[in-house]
Amino acid sequence: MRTPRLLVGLAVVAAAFFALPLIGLVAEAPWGEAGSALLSPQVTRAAGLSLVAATAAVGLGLALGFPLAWVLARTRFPGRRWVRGLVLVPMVLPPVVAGVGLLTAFGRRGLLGGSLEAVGVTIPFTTAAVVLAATFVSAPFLVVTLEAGLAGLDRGLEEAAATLGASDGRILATVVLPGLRPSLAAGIALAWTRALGEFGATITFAGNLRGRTQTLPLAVYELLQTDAGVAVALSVVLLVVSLLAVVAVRGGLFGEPS
Amino acid sequence: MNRRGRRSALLAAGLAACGCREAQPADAVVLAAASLTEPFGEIAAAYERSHPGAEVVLEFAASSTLAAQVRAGAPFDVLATADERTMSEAWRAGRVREPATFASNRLVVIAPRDDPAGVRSIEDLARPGVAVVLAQADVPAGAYARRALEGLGIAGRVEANVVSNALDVRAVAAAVALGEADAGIVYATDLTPALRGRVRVFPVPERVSVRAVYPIAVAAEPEHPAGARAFADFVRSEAGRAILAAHGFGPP
Amino acid sequence: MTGGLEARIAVARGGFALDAEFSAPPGTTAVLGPNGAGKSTLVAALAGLEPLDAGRVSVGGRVWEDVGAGVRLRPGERRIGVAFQDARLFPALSALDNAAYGPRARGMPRAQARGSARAWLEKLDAQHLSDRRPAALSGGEAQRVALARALAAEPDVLLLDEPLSAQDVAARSAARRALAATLGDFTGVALLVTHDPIEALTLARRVVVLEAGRVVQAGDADALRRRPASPWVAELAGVNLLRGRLVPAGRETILESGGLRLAVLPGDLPVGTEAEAIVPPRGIVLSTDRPRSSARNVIPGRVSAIDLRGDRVRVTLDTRPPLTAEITAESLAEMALAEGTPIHAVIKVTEIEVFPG
Repeated sequence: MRTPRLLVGLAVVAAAFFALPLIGLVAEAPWGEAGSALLSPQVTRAAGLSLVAATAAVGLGLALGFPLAWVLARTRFPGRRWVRGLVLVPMVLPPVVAGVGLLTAFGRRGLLGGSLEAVGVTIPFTTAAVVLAATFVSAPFLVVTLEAGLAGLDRGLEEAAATLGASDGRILATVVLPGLRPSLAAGIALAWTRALGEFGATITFAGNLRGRTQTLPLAVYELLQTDAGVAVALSVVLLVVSLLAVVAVRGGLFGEPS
Repeated sequence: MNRRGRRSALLAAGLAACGCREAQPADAVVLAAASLTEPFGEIAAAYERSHPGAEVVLEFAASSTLAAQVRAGAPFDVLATADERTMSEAWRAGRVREPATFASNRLVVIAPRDDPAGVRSIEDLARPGVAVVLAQADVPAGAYARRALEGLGIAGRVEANVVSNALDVRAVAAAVALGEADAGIVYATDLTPALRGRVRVFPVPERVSVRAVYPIAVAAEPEHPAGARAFADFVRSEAGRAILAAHGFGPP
Repeated sequence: MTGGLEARIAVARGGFALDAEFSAPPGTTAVLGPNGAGKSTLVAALAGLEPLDAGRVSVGGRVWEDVGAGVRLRPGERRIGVAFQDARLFPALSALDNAAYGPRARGMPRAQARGSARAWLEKLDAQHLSDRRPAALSGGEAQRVALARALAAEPDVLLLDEPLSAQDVAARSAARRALAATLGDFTGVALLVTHDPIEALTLARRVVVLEAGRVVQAGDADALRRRPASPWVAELAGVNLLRGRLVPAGRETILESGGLRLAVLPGDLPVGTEAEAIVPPRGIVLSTDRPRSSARNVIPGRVSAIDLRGDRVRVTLDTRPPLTAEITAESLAEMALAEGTPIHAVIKVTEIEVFPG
């Protein structure tokens, strides 16, 4: 079927819908004055914290998400559908609700947090809480893409490797993971940018303290009330970083171009 | 943004979108500080009863957030903030007519009921290891609290104990109510029945007690000019003042 | 050097049941069967990729799997080299690294493994493919690399699943010859799983015939021909397989097989060596007179057997070794052939495929 012109027209409208906020931000930002403000301690600390937390969240998400994706893709057990649904819930939950949930689980009075508190470990309002909140909302992207990737792998290759005497570890490293590279790239891109932009769960579970828990989105929110121009400029930076991350990873920098 | 405010806003938007209800001249879109949640809810209901057919849409948030929205051009009829600084931001941007104070408030210190850190007074907030939550510095409640702490000479040490700068005063209350913070400073009027059951309350000493002043103003370009004026007047009327007093607010 | 393979395999998967018992001594044994006979299941079971429901597999006395005794070796422990029908080369590795995979997996240092892989690729005339990725290989090239990969792992048992299926018809005989040479050098048990009777008969001494999940016959080619155990076996038994020696005759080459002297195109086979030739029944024309035609081979004889199969007929001549031709029932009637009728078999040289003996 040929591509109808109407479809192309609608696609252009859709692209404009996604592009306009970025164009608006770039146009609004007072680049001259905002320049130095973007290098203020508040902004640089927030940026550093955000980058570290998003990366840590992706690392934690991979450590938790890969085994889960494997089990979902390759084993059968009763209630599998429900487990998969549970994993997807953070993607559709309002972030503040996720934050409240994290408090009830890991807060000082929480299910697990209560016991941790007793041995002197407090999680809420710490940098660790920032990472946990970011992991909770971004890990589902990893699980979804990894599960799809695993399900689509050619098992015949793994069988061939087994007959050649490869241990399970070697098969994982030389056959499975290389085959997962496109899925990993896609999942990491989505999860990292999602973690970078997390707000609601962070403010509720980790709080807002410069240097410790104030991430870039929280800094933007605060700046919006004091110096809107800088807030806009910072928003552009955030948007561009996210855009670059997605394009670079999906565009072949780390895997097969898609 | 307060949930009821958001629901009301969505409802209004939805109704407006489907054209199910015609806008009445006495309608009003009201932006109010988070601490005014309970009294303004009642005031709006009373206003609607005395202006049959009218509908009041409420949005509650930190005054600084509201001021930012108003400066960015959000449509509204009435703005009520918890301090004069945030109102003057809206005034300087030319978004409101002459403001007038309509209520006042006091600060109190709260700690979780089961007293995890042994907080007995405001001075205990300066003790090392106490987890304190305050509102952000440019939110009125946060500004007032820091002024009081400065007056006591413990502002620096308490600031070192702050684990989070909440987005509004209600978030401070929530953190203490949930037991995630050891202490916080909120308005006396925030002690709703629901909150009172979960916290212990300590006064802020008289000599540094900051008197929070609440101004109200009509929009320079209101959505509903008649309703804007009518609602602002209603707040400052005897009926309005009675409701505010019943919720613990002081006179202007 | 290993002993032979002894297998008793029962596997039921998704409505299909394989129940096969056979043995294979060192050397090449063909497992021959039509599609759907259970060949893939057999390959998976022997490789250890599919657990047996019942039975036992041992090689040279070493037990690979014994359901009764609860023994089951993992594929890697079996020292089996499998060249899969779909090659299954690792897409992210070059052909060289694919071939080196087995030795590397067993702990050989990379340089050494690559050296061994290079040697095997060279033996299979695939060294020029070393640096290519599997995506850049044709089907036939991929199968060759897959075979090198299986051999480089120095297995006790070599399992080839339709190894020539990706070759186009024109290249097939050359590929078959090359494979025969490779198999000739292999000292372990080589199992060639195929549906092509010509492949089975020319590459293997022993043939195990698999039909509908069961072994219907096992033995060498002559045994199959003499007493076919099923119609399908009889079908393939009808192939004329001649063994003899290539001798020169003027500018031609002659295959001397028993009492027959057939002009053949020997390709690169040297004169004076043992050779085998395949003549498909369809490639033989029967003529009552001695014809003058382009055909170089005209062999007189008498009809010794007539086998009616619907509208096709198999006519066997009393030559030594016997020749079987396939003609239509109409021709049979027209020529009024019967047992004892003198007849000539006319064979074009190009119909005869010659192999090393």
